[in-house]
Amino acid sequence: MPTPRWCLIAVGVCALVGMAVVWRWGLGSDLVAFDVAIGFPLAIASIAFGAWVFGVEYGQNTLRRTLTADPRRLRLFVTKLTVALTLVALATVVIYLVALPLYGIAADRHGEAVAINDYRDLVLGSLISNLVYVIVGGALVLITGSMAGGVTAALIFLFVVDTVLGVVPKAGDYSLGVALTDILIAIRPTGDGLFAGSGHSTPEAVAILAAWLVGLAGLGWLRLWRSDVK
Amino acid sequence: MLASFEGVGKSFGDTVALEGLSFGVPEGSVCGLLGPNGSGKTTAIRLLLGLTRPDAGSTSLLGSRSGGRSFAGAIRQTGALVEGPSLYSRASARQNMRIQAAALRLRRPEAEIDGLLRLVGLEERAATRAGGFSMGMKQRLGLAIALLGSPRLVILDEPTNGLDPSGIVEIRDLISKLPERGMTVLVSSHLLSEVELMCDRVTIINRGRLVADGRLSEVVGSSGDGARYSVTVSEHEVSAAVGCLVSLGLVAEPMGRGLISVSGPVTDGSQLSCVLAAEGIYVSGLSQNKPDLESVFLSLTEGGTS
Repeated sequence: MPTPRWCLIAVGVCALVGMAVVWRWGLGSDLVAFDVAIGFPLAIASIAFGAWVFGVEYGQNTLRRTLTADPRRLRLFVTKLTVALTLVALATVVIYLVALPLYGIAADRHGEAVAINDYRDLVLGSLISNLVYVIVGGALVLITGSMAGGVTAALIFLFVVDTVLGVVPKAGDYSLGVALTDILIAIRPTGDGLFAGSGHSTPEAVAILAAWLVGLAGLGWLRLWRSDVK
Repeated sequence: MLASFEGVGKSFGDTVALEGLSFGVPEGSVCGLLGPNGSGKTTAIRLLLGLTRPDAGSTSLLGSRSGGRSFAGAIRQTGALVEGPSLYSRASARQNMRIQAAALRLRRPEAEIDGLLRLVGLEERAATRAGGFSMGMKQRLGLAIALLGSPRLVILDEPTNGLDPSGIVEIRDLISKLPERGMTVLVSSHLLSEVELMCDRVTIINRGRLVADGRLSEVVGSSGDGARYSVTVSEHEVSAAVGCLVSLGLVAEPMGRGLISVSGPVTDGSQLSCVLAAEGIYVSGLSQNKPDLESVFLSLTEGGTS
């Protein structure tokens, strides 16, 4: 399973490849180079990192040791969630901050410049997406009781189940992906999302997204709380 | 009692793991938990540590009911090694201990970590990744982790698994000396001879039920067989000796080559010698065969293997 170190290395390699592409061919429109070279790898890394933080105890069979040092399972859940969200938020912001001047230098060869306001919106959108993916990855690890199973389930859920659900008329407007897209469109109207958006207002989209996250995290917590630890 | 079970029942689907289990571990004792495979030993330990919940009854640890408000405080004063060592394989032995020290919120644990690594013979491998350890070394590290923070109660599930004979002796000596450090020990083991050497109390469970509990000497002495003696006389005097002993209300059984197995209400073996001498029968050998933990275990568990 990908450890945080390998997640970071993979994101770094993708960012460097993206910078090389920008150096050779330029930035393109709508900051798409950032979306492809940093945004997408960071999203995958966020799923993997969320799964790792919640699943390391399952992967190494150390949950019983953790709970015999401190049996408070709610405390363990909240601590892991806080650490995962904080680190992913920090990593997202730092990586985009580091990439900005480097990509700027590469784009300057072609007489292009990074629009700061658009870039700010892109970072904010990526930050929100990554926080969502961390929770989904972590929750599905807890629900499946397995790190490998959780990562697989998270990828299938986000890229297959939720995508299929998103194209269902009416009901699809309430899928996690469509709600997230509604929020991202509100932040960055020019961005290219996976979904078209439903037309829900931002508060409605936030409520739908929150319901999904609370539901998934709640199921994960219930599984952790009720399960016998082997 | 530092740990107690009161009418505990636990089932996994249709399988009854524990049924009406009640016993306690007094402070300062080294209590052996014995039972055949699948008798419920590990389930009992997991219930005690709050890793699983009972279907009936309750457990308590250091006076705190499992799952209760003060349970977290009680478990911090309890060291445990359950179903083999639970280690972070990418972390070194020292890092594994530091992680546990942080979880227990120990302040400045380095001296204690050094001492425990020395105690279990891992001081020279402190910087080695735990994933590269042999089973015996992992077991030693697991034991060191269980002793971190000087817990009042130490719960060890098969602590000598994977150890070589000299390692077993070292760990056995270490465990039997833990009460001198103010620790009480509950240890499950399938090595009956080891339990007999390191424990002063023993609890035997079979098919999820308690079948014996008490001081080791009491449990062994209560086997119901009483003392058995082996008496050796000349082969041509065996029948006369047996007749004499039977007439005294004893059970005497010829075993061949002049050996007679005698059991019954005999308080002193020399009585047998005197009785037979009075009949003109010379006793050339007399020994007492005391029941041991193994024979008691086998009789109580209907020959089950641990």
